[in-house]
Amino acid sequence: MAISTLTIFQDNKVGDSNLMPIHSPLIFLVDAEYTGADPYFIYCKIYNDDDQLLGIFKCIPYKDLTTAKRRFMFIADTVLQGYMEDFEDTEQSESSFIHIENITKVFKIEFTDPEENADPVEINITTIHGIRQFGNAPNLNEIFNNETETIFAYKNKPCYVYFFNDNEDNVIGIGYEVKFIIDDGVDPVDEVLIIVDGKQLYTNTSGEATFNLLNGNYSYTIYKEGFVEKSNNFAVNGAALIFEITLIANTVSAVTFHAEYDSVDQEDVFIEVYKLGLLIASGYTNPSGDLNRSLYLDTYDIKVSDLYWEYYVDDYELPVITNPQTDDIVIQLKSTYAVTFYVRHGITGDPIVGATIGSEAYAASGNPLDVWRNQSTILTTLGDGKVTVYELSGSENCGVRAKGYTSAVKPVTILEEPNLITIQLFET
Amino acid sequence: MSQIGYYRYKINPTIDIDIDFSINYELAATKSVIVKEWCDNDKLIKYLNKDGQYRFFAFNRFWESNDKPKELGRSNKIITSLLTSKSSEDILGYKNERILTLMAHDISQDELTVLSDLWTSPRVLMYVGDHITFSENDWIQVSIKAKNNLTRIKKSNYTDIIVDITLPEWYTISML
Repeated sequence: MAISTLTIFQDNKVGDSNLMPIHSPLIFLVDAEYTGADPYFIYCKIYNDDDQLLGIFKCIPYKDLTTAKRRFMFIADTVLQGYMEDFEDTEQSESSFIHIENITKVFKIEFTDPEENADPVEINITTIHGIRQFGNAPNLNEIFNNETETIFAYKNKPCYVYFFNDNEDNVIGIGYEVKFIIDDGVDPVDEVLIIVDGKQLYTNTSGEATFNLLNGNYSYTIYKEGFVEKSNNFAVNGAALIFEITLIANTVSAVTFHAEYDSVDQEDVFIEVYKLGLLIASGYTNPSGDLNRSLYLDTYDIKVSDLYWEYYVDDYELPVITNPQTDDIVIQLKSTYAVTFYVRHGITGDPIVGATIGSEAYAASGNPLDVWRNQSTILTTLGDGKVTVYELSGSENCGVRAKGYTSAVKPVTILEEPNLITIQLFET
Repeated sequence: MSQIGYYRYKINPTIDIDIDFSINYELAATKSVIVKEWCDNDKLIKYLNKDGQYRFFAFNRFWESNDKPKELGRSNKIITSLLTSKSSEDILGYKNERILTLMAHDISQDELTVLSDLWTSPRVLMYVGDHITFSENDWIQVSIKAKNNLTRIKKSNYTDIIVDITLPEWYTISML
């Protein structure tokens, strides 16, 4: 029986790869000198620090080095791999950037020849190869080249982001710490939105938010509803920065949004008020075309929707500077074009009076709710077999019905005027 | 000066964020962290991926638990009274294996690519803490078995994932 120690280095390197134990079996070569009988194979028992047997592995002949020296090979299975205490992460604090330490593990190994009682043999282990594990899989992965990677994480739960350094002359990092500490003059303010060159963070309960920035020029914007927005430029130049900023409470204004077109108040118009992309207020106008909201003195982005189909409002900025303040929404008219439907007999060409026109579905359903495009009712042809309406440009099929005629579907494309759509129906 | 090898940055993100890593103060790599919502009843799994990096995945709150108790053994008992003796043997206790069946809905191909390392991960841990701390004893090592070890979704669709998590075996109270 020969006793030796086996030391496994789990290097934090690509190529030598600390990652091999989890990728592929650990392969070891054992050089053994022997006297006596020729050992065909030997067994290797591996123990941990507490003399606990982890596994028994069969070492098979790999190469004869001399007449009394043979190289054996054994593959340690997952028992040994699993024993490798690696990558323990719980000691790492939040926002820290640490080098993952190399790991060295020492095992006691015991070699025995299963036939040593029958055929006396004395084995002396001279060398164990493979204590540094090599591999070929990990370093082919793009992540090892520090390329762009997407990592899924969960809100307020730990997340790890890995970065590989291949040169010890490098200075590596995640930029300089730029910390914002926000208060209201007395207490820290949490949930403050801080935007630095498009990157957004919110302050924690201590009023703090930390960015990691490389050297360069930046600008920040700090906002929380109820406080005056603050913006400024700054430069990171080889050192960390701390900004201690006191927010000033803002004044509330009673703002009335009024929607009106051509002296007609517009009811049920939906108005949204945004600040830095955050929805601050929203609601529908009442029968007087008004929506009342309390807003702090500031500049907001306004979006208006749910208007009558012929109307539109461009998104706009609203500076709230007085209390109270009324915002008369500028409603504009969309471009519409006259469309004339002409329904006639398919053989005689006579105009068909009282033919009805709706959506494509209307041709089959006859449902009066299946109106064509933005029209409020089903269209009916007059004495000359024609009916004229105004519509937005675009394409959409229409469905036509008339008593005593087969219904029909007709594609309609509305361009600039004139738009004459001739539809022929045939008697049933 | 720095050491060769892997570095690890730890964050508890609240919103999507890009992490810029630098070499000699020049931008070297940007890693995007996409933050997903989380419920307290969700089951958080931590595992080593194929690159030896810890990754996290949350299964939703619709999980179930099944026990597989096995008797430790029985001991004979002498019947001393036909009136009061209850049986001729005592059950010593049980060892129990608890299996949690976890689900994740609407997994995209991108998420599945990250998650697929879970099927062969040598180290899978499940969070059992109070959602405040994330220390070593807040995690228990578990084994995992997926109903379907899917690694690619056809037609760039979304899929549901179901896995069985086997908790470490434990012994119930024994009556020896």
